[in-house]
Amino acid sequence: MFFLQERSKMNRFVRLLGAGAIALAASAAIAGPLQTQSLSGGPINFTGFIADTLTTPGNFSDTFTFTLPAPSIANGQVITIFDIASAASQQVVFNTVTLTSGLDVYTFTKGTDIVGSTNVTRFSFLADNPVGTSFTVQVDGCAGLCDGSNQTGAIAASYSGTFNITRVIPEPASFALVLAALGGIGITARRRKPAPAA
Amino acid sequence: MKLKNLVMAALMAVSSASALAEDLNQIVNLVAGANGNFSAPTTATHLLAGPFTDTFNLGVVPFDANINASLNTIGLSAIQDIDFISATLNGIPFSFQRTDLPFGATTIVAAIETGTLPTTLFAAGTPLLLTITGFAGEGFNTNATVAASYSGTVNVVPVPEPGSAMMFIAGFAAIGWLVRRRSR
Repeated sequence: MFFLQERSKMNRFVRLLGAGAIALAASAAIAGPLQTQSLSGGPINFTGFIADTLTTPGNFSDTFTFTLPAPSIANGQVITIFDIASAASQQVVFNTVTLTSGLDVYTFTKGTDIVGSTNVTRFSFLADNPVGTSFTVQVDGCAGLCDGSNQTGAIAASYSGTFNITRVIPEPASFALVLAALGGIGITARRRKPAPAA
Repeated sequence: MKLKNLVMAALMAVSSASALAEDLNQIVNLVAGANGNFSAPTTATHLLAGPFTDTFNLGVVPFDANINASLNTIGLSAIQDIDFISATLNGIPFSFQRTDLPFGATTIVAAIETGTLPTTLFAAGTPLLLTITGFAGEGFNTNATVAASYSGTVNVVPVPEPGSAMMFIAGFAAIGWLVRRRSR
């Protein structure tokens, strides 16, 4: 028994559609669906993953959203491998991988490609950055030959990645400051309040 | 006799402790391309610290196949850390590269561990099992709470390539047609 996703049926449909569409949109990035990722762990430390298998050759843009219970910091990595002789069906090129939280955009660092006699392994990573209570990861890349030729036909090229999220706990000194401020407000309120009539 | 019992008890205590630690067993659903190749991501999340043996079941391929695979993990604190001990696909080993990351004034050694299984031929009909052993969490007691994960990919290419198979069939058909012409 060989495990196959039902997507093989969809690939034939995509291929029939694609013959015309790809000719028109040869250089446009194919936007993947916005995906909301689930997180494991908690209440302080969480971990989650992203993944996609590209079945259309050419540029792609995948966006993944993470929603967190409290302000946090996050780091992550993405990985892919392809056989050089089968690049047409397996290759994923990471052009830009970014993590966006509010107005902050952090760009992943490309690891040095691990080049073997038959394979190339690619990875990109991002060290910890503040991410508030939600962030999106966008993977912009190319799948397939990626040599500017008008490649057609469904491919099967995968990448995946993981993210580590740590909830930011205020320092004890911050708590002390908050308590002191509340205490100060309380004292001021009591001073201002006229003494109750005897 | 008493010493032997003591040793046996100790061994059983150790083995039961690691039995509680998380071993993840998953099935990989390979996505097919129209060219007959297959690919899929692999992901695993550990929420319990300690040694693990995870397996990913690729199934039984009905054809000879060239298979390659990747693995990667990043961990910038002990609770996020995965250390790979070994990874094999039916006994064929991955090779690992470890990347240090500067972290403030210090360096996190092996913050990123990247594994590669180069393209290897596997015979048709064999159950394909990806086995990964390692540690989740750095320095925690077994079964302490952690949140550590890794991910990877796997590619499967039938051999001969479907395109080549079609050429074989076309070639034999052409020879058959020529033979029929000559025999007339």
